[in-house]
Amino acid sequence: MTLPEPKEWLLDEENELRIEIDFDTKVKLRLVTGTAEIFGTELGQNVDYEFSGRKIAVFTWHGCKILITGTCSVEYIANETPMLSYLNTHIALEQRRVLATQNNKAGPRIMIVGPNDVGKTSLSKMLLSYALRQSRQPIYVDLDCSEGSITMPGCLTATPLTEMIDVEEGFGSSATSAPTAGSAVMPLAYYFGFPSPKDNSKLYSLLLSRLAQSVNRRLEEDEAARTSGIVIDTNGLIDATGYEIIAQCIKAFSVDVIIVLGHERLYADMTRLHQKSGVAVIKLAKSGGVVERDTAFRRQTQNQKIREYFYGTSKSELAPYSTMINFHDIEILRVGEGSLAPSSALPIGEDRKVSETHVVNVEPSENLLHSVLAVSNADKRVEPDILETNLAGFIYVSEIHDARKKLTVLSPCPGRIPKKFWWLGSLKWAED
Amino acid sequence: MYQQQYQQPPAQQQRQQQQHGGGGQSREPIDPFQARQLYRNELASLTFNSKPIITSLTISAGENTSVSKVIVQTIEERLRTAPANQKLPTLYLIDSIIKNVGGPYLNQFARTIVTLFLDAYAVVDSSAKASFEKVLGTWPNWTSQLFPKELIAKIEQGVRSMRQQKQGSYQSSSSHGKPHYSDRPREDPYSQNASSMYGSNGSQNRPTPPSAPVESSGDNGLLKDIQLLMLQKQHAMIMNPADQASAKQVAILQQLESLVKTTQLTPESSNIIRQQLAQLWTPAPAPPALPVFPQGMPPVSSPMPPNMIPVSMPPLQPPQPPSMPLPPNLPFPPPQFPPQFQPGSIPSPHMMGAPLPMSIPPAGIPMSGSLQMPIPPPSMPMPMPLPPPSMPMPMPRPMPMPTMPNAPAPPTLPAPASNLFASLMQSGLLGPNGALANLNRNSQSPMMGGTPPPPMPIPLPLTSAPGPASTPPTLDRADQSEQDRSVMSLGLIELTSQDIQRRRPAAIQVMYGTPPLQCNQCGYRCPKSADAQKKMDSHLDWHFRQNRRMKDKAKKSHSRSWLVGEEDWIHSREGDLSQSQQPVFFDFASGVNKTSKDEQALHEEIAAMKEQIVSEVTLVQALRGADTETTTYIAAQNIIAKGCSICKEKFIKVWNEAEEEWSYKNAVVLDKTIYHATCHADLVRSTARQAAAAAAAAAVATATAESMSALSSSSTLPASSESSDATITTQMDIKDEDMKEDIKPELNHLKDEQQEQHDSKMDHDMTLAGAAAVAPESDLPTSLKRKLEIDSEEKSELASKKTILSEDS
Repeated sequence: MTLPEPKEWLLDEENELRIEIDFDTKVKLRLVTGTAEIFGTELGQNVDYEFSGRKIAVFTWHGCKILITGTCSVEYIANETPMLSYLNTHIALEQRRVLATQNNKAGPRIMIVGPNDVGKTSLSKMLLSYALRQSRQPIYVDLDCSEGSITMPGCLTATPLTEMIDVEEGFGSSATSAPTAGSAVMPLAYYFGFPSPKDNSKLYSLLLSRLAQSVNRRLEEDEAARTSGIVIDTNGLIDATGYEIIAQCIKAFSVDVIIVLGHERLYADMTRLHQKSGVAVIKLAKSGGVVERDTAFRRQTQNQKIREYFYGTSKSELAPYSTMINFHDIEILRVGEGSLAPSSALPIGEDRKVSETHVVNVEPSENLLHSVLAVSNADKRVEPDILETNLAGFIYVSEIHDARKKLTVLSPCPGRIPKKFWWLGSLKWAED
Repeated sequence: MYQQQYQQPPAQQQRQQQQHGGGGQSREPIDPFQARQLYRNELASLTFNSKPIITSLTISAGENTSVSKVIVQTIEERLRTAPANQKLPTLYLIDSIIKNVGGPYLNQFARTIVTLFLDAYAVVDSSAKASFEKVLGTWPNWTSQLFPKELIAKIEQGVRSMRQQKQGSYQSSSSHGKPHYSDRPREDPYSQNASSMYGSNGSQNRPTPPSAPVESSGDNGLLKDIQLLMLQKQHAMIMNPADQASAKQVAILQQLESLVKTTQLTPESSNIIRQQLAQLWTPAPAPPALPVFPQGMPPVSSPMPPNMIPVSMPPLQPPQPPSMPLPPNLPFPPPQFPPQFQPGSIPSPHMMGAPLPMSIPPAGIPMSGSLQMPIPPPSMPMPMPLPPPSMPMPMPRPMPMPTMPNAPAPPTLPAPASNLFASLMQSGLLGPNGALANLNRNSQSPMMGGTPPPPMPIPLPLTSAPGPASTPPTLDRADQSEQDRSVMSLGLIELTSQDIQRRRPAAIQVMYGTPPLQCNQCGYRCPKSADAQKKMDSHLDWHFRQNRRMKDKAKKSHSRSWLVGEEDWIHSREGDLSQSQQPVFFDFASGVNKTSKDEQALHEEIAAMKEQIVSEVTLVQALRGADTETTTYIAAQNIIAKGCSICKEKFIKVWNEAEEEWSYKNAVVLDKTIYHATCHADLVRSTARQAAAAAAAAAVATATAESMSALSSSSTLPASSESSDATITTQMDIKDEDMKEDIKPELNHLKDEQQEQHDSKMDHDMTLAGAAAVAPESDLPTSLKRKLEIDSEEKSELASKKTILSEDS
């Protein structure tokens, strides 16, 4: 089989090449002349970048020539982009950082809100990338528990960034010993375990407060991060629960810049509710390149994320370890009593608040097979503290030996698994 | 084979010890927790063998003996948790501290040094192992006693048994005599300025050619002063290419350097040069002199000159103007730096030149000596933030220069290069054209062209310095102010939905700065700033490391580590996270591998030995031995040319880029006979094999006996250590049952090694317990707790080893 002929794309100033690549194909991209950036990270000239299962936009401020080898499911050039306003936003934020540095104040704390599929994560990435390009060290707070940009779906994370964001690997891989082009980032992760904050809003708000507390404590000490500020990526919830979460988030993180992406009504509401002295609310248009990701695509992204956690990417492969563990050496926990029924299903007047943060034991059984469990950093089971203890990582249950009272798990690294309390969430993964 | 080039001659060492004695003074207590944070941040930058960092850390340690406990803990922690390839620099740091600072550090390190050393030794690769041995070899015969002989013997024993274990399972653990690395003559006349072990990657510390006669350590010190100053000026040049003054100064300094190298200077002439040099130091926001430190700093091995510590600015910024302008007629002499002056807390200029990606703690505190910044000692006079002459402020800022109508008028501080030039010419050091004049002992005159008055004490009353002294200068990002300015020059963009839609062509320029300095391996672009080149260099270094690791990928599998706990996340900084992301509990992995050494490893070891290159100078020295008179250089060369005494093959001569000297591959000299290291190892092995059976039996017997006595003497210990002992025994039992006759000898090794580790653990536990009774320090409970944590970790590691073993069976 011969390699497909590379395809050449000529982009004018401020054009964007949008490509979508299926999960089972690989596409190589190379910048031949000019400048180009992907989600804010500048591409090097004549360097091959490889993508799979991604939807990316290559933007150029000055015009460029790009070579693409491989088949993309979608590829076209767009000349209308909101990039100018994105850049202006960055400059405005950067000016605030400069002032913050001069006056020894805190840098901007930015929250990006909007419905699903408007490019919130891409915009976060862009703003962070731009900040990193100017040697800032922002902290990225990811409250979108459905996606898990840094670790795994189901988590609330905060990640200090110091090196540029890798175009191929996204935010970089957390704490690998592998050589990666991006930096090895060290996130702080709390386990929520549900795809949407609505599934257990009490736990969500508990974790949100805890995360904010830790981030604020770090910012107190970390001057570079303090002046660089934080970028908060939210989940796409914009109903009443969503508004509550947004309000809590603004308070907890002392947010002073709210960016509303692609939603006029939300912008109006945010302006009405939160615009006051010291808090700026701006709206930005969503990029035409943003496509709706259907459930299947999200599911595939999730699977890819889990796979990457254990096995790494093709560029930096990781070796997970399989270990056998006795049932009695671990405790598997989950939050909430049994399976949570939606609030509407509860009898009128019934309050579920107590059971929402109730920790229950899960007996290891066949049900656990293919589950991804989160390993808590907790050493003792003290409620409710254990809920708010951050994560050490994840393991994957690959086999259950009921008779021998053992289970085989895939652990990210060799050695025994450091902690005995494991959270069971709704995350499952069928390893191919 | 084991050269000890980095050692300082005893004379110099002693002087430094004395200096240190003078420097020991009471300080205000420092918060141990804060100290730990600061030291840990500094330590995090020690990811490669860098002399400047080691020096700086040593100084910090020397200045903060009151929190030595915390510092030692931090270093130990670092050595334990650092990735295998970063352990060596940390060992060098320990070596540097015990040799140069000594004092309380000796006792502190003595508690754990055995396990610390051996644990690290066990996991590092073979080239690092050789360096470990090299360091160890210098300890027993050091000018002052570093560690008790028993401890060193223990380490040597451990090293030996590990080596043997690696060399093959058929060999017994017994070996005769001392390891050869401690027998070797240590004297090396070039040790002063030959490339040192620490930080051999610094191009500025190029070794002086062995032919250059260096007469006295004083001249040597002067030489270092000059080199340091040159570094600083070069840095200034890089920061600001338009800085003609610095360029000129560098040129002069280069001449001076070669002059000092090639000429014998009288003390007077070196003094004159020193005084001239002193003027050139760029001042920093730091006290010009510390009266309590007449001789100054705790001594450090090079490159810090023994008697002159450069004043320099915190690495990335020009000093901030003092927040409180000085009263106009303050009798404050301009900071003029006599050679002996020693500001306590000043980063070495090396920090600026060194390619350190993460060397600056983001907390806004200068690196070295930073531990004391928050609490200035009472004697510390007003920091004097003057604009450095060679570094124009990137942004126009108000400069509240103190005007000094009443002050004596010494030479202006930003001494132009021509001043130095003129003075040097006047004093006869330089010829009329700047060419080097012939210098000899009687060409000196005290005339100095109206330059510096003698150093004077600072009469500044303490009360006048409350403001800036209490707030440490913030380490802001003034290096980026060029960039910041371009951002600000766009006009303040309001964060309103209207304002951010306006087209601003200049905004793109901010992101794609001109002229571009861009990495060709990725899109990284250096922000337009004064030290862009330095940043780019460190970025390229990073690429280099990444690429090298990529190449290693095939050999070694990588995996994701566990995330750190909440508290660690809050207090850690990216620098140390990305460098040493393996928490303690993963070291276990290497422990497991250790027991499964096989033939493959042996071959690798032999290959590594063959690759080992030994400096020609070292070989010649070794061959000449003590009686230098009778064996000439030529004779020694002839012996080398004859080849290995065992296999008679010739040695392969190669040019060693790193050390810049001729070297031989796989050569070793023992008892004035030259061998291939591999041939000799074979010889030793075959001799040892004969004694193996008897020795193995003896070893087991001794081990058991020792174990009994150790146990009986440890009644005061916490229960954990006994239970871990029990675990060891159980594990050995399991092994005994499982293993067949033919691997018995290896088992003996294992037992031996475990026994040693166990013994040494006992040992340090007991020391600890003893110290706990004596020392009333406040942070002791933490240290004890930590110790117990380590113990329990070890215990659980052993337990899980046991689990694995039982599962296997």
